[in-house]
Amino acid sequence: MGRIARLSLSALRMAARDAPDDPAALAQWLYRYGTVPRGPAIERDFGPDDEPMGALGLTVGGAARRRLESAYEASTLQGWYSFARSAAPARLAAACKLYVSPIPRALPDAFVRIVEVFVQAEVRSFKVGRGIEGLLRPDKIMAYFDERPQLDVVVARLMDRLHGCPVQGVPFTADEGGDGLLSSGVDPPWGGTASSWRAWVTARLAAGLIARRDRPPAAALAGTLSDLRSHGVDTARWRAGAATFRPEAAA
Amino acid sequence: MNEAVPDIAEARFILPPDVKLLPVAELSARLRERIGPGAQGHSVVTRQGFRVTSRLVPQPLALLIDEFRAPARLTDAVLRFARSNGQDPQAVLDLAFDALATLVEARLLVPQDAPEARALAPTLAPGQGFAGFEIERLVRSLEDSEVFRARAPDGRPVALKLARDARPAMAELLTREARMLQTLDGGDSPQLLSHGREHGRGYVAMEWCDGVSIGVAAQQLRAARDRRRLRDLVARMLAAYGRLHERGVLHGDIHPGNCLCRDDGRIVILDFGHARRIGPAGFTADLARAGIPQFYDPQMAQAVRAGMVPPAASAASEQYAVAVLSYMLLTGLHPIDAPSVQDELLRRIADRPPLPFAARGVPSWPAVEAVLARALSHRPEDRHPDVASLARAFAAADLPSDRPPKRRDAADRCFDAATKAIKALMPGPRWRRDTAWLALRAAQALDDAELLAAADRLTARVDAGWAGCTVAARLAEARSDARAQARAVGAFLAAAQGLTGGPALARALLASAHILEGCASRSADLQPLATWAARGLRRPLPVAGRRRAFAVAVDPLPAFVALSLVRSGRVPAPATLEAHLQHLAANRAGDVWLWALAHDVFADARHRTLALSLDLPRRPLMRGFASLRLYRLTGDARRLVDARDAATRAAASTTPAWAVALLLAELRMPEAAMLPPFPTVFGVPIPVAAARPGGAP
Repeated sequence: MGRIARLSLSALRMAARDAPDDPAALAQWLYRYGTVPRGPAIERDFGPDDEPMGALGLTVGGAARRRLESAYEASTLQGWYSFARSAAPARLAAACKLYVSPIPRALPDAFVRIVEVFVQAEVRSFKVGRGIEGLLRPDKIMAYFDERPQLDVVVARLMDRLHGCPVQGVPFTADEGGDGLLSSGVDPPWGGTASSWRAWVTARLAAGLIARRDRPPAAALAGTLSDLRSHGVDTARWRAGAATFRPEAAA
Repeated sequence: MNEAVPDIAEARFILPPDVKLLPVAELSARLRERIGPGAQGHSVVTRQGFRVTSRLVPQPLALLIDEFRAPARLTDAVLRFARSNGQDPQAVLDLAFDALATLVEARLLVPQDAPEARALAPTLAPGQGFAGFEIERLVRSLEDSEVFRARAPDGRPVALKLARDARPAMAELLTREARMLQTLDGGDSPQLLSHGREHGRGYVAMEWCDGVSIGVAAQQLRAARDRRRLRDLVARMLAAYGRLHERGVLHGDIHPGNCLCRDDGRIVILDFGHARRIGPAGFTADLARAGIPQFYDPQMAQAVRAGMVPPAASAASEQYAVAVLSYMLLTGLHPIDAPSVQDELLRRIADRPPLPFAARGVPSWPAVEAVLARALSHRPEDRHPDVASLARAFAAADLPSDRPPKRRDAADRCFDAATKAIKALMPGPRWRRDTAWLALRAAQALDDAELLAAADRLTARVDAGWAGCTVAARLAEARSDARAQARAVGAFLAAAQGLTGGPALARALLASAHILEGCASRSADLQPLATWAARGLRRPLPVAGRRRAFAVAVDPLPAFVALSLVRSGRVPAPATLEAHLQHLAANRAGDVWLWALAHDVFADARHRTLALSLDLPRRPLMRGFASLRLYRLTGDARRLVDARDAATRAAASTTPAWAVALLLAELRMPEAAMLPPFPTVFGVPIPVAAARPGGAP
């Protein structure tokens, strides 16, 4: 079993054994599963507030910033720094997205290499978690693509550039490289019940587990996964199927 | 050359539009913590881009200063302020005149027709030409100078530093800088390309160097936990300053912003405006000596505090400054726990020795610490002979050895079994609070996301007493969950409100110190908790069951509680605390925890001596925790070996296995090791700061 599959299953087993009563709280707990603990050492080393930008090479003169300056426009969102290609026209929602999940300590070396690949491949936009809390979460770096083949190209280049990089891993996403460092997801249609793939899948998992609270944990988990499979989700690889979002699209 | 001195009685002064008056209560938690608890009700006066030190002023003075948003004579502003507040103008003037004069001296209040009265704006735009160079972008803007990235006629990028106007003082600095760059001719400094005057403005054009401040370069290596490359970076920096001194040049303004790390790792020293030749012996004072207070040597700090003319910069003072910079690059922290309030900072520089890395929560590095400690000696003659010698000693310092050799024994098995059971959420109803605490500490020790998630589930089962809320608050911090943290703090206060005194209040106050210290980085409002704690300190805290006379005389617990809260940075020290500590010391009361904490707070060597002179607890679990505390006090790695041995003995004794697991978790992060904030853990009493009849060991 790969790292992401193991992380996802361990989250679900824990949730099945001891779930909060509130589906939203459980969904949030599942969504955040895989977050590295914050502690004084990592806080001191990365710095408070926006200082972790320096560790990523995003401050003035930093290697990542210099590579991005000519081709990307940066904006600051709550919890994120977002980068979009300056020349890119306004487009529809992305077809798919890529998660890049090194452990926080690997970011000072890995981030500039990730940026180089994104710049070379002309990735339309990507975002990186803001502040130390943004870098501790598993889905700390996300890139957006119009077409699946471009994502595949970027995956191949990143596997080459990030070989040996220590992995954190994003639960409930589709492993792309075998070690959990790179994974993908497809967001549900805009205007639906959830704004992202992970929000969508964790909401359904939480609802399923809470609906089966009276059953033994293993049975509750099996029933929940079975429900999800009936929506076309591959629960071994955490990949949405062609029919998964049809009801949402119709709505 | 001196600028014109304004007539303080007659000149009309203005508070420039970009001067900010920020109430301390509105600052981020991090800045509030740095400023300290004594600044409540004050405001910070600050001006970005200007070489002025931010000032703390009491709120009434801040309101008076705000009167200068429109130009006014000092007396007129005071009159207007006094009338609108129903106060006697003469009394206000008497009270405020010195403070206003200080702000004029600091150039925060400026004559209305002075150039500094306007907000800073770039004087040149991209595409504009200046002295044959094409401006690309503004890099740095100060009140007297600007630095642009520009293009030379041959297409080379250049750094163009120019005076904002024709004032002679800046022109003199630029001329001096050009002369120094010419002398140095590249290498560790940018190559001089040209210099002169254009439209009356002095300028220096020099080689453009891509790279980041050495502070950022070091931050990247600290974040990556790459001590080998960090040592090499600092070694290159020290070698560069060593070569500078060997060429007879003092830099004069050492700080991380003046030292660049290029992409290939080479160091470039910047900004030679305050540089000077190493002077002959006997050149003892320098009115124009520059620098940032954090990098002052003790002699400079003493002179500034005493209002005396500063001693001239010397190779020895600059050795101190580069050693401070090295310490900061290696740890991310100042060597003497520098506060933001300048007078206190200067006092500490003058009085205190550098702290061991372990005392700042950074893994110890004995060889490097020894080299830096010598460079940071108070007496110049005790420092290295010169910076080049310091650089050589530093480069020869070994990397820190690994932790004591790992030998897997019964203690490790306790830890492994506990973490496995926690991940499976197996613990039963007993010791829920302690199990949740163990899960949290193990998660932090191992950077383990699964243990953190398990800690969250286990904490949800804990009763909502103040102890359980303490776990919840620390967990919320570890999960970066500000809302959960605010809920936990609110629940803590609700649970602790009924405590009126005695040991229960003392323990709750200790737990509040845990929350205040551990949650300083989050945005949750901790002021109500700090207020409750400060009020609680004024209540009687003697331990029940002791003879009252004895408890009052030598009970160390109230002092320990007070010290814990003071160290959190949120509660001011009670006026009687130092006298209380003297009394305890005279009675040979207190334990390792009390005296180590007293040393953390007051940096008094006698407290350290007391902590080290005491016998350690006999029970292996507490002995292990005590050894870890002494490691944090001294950085002495032998204390880690002692703690590990104690864990092994605890595992072979009747100590509960999960209590041993907790000690193992702390051993895995010894620089952050702590006792649990409860009176017992897994049924084992934690007698911290307990009274000992007769003061017997």
